Amino acid sequence: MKKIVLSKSLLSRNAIVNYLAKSPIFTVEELESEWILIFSIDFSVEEENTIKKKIFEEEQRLFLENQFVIIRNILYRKAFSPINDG
Amino acid sequence: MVKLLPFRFKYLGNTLLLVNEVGQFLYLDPLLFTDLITNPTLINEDLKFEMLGKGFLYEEEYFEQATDELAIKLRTKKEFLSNFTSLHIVVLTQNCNSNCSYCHASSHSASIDKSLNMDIKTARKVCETIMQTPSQSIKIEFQGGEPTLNFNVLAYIVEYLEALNRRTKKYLEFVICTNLLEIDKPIFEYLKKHNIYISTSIDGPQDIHDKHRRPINKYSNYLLAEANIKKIINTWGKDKLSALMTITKESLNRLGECVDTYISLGLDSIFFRPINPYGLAEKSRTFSSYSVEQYLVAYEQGLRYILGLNLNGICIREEYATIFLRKILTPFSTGFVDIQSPTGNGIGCAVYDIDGNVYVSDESRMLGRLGDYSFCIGNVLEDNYKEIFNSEKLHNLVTDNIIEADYRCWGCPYIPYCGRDAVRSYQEKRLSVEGSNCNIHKGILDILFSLIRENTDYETVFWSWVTARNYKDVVL
Repeated sequence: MKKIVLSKSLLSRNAIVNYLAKSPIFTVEELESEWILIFSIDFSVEEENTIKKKIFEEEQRLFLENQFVIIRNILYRKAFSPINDG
Repeated sequence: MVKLLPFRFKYLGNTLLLVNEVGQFLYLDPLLFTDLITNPTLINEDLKFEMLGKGFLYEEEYFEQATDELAIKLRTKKEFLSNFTSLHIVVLTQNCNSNCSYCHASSHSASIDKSLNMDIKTARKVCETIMQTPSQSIKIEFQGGEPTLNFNVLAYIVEYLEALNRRTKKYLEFVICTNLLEIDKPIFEYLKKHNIYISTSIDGPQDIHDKHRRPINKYSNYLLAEANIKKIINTWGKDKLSALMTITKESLNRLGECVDTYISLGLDSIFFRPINPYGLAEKSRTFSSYSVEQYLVAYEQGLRYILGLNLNGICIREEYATIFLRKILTPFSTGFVDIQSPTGNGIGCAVYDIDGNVYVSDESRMLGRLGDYSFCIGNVLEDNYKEIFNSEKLHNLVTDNIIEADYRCWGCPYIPYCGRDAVRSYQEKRLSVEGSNCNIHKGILDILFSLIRENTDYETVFWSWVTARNYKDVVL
């Protein structure tokens, strides 16, 4: 059994959920200020760092995707709305 | 002040790949990423100019111009939508003169059964339906079984369409998909006279080809096809003929030999195509004789072999890569209907079976052959063009298969290059191999972006493939 503790100030629930969807090999406990990821298998520090990196990557992805929602909407509207000659 | 335009990202080894909404890309040092996404004004001037030029950033006061420009590029990338159905596949017969173990079409390979041929009445309705497509450029592809076994109906369709087209004056292109086992002189002359392109199959050297493409008679399928390929190229030129390869367990680790075989036949392109899970390949589980991971390892080895040949002056391209590279390196898309979003099913390609049933792709008529009509959108003998192509079924199919709106593709940087084949997704779900096509596409794109990053000469070879030129001409 292996535990990884991550600060809730750095990682959102959605980032954890997104990673969970891609690697369904752990359970999650939520404390007041931390997430605790519990794995059924043991692994090296290097692998632990890879997992942390991937979860932070999800956080960055969420940050960007949320930021781009409005511009994407404008972009697709401009690209595909029927042209009005009037 | 500069701000970000929409893009997606992915770590590729120790670099970061950024792809914007229209498929322009750049590589970034991961150490710069946090600055970029939290405060892009902090990035250095060189990077800022590159990102402004490629549509990753905009100057705040020029928001309208920046989004106008991206919107035009987005329309260009989706230009294939304005053509509607351009590829019309006509299945002339279920009879076949070969006995392939992985036959996607579940063809009938014993004695010829005339009830398995398309008849003239159905062929006539098929032609009249095809000519109603709004597309100005129409490709008619004859398939089977082996279409030469119902050649009279093929000739009827060609000549009736040519007659109908004297009024409409569209661009018509004909392709016959044949194993080239029985092309006699009259057939050859007819194909030449009517400018009909030939698409055939070669799986590799003789032992690999004949292993799964088993002859009904005592002759080697490979030797018969080889003789006809050489005859066609020598008398007609290689532009009229192309070949498809299906990668089997036997060829997986011998792709270099397969490439050499193609070169020896005078062919200048090869398609490293994995086995699809349809027809006999599904029944015999041939499609699962190697994993996606094994396929991708072999694919990269084969691609590197081809790149090496090109750098040494031998011009041959890999088609799977070229389909993606056209989308990566140019502002345009391709007409390849299997990798389009919205899906190309029905709106890019339609298939007319021997009984007049219309399917949304070649693979879906293969499901129909097994009694699954989920993707049958009508019948030319019973329904008119509007009822078939404006049906609720087709509307729903297309709107359900747009990867930009699919949660499974959320955040994937390869969205601008990728697409969805609804029939393949359906079949993957049925066979519990969901995501295999997605993993193949992602794997190939990872390989291509790694190669572009690794060696600028590789990118030059890729340019030569996309622009259909020799490597040396691109270097000059």
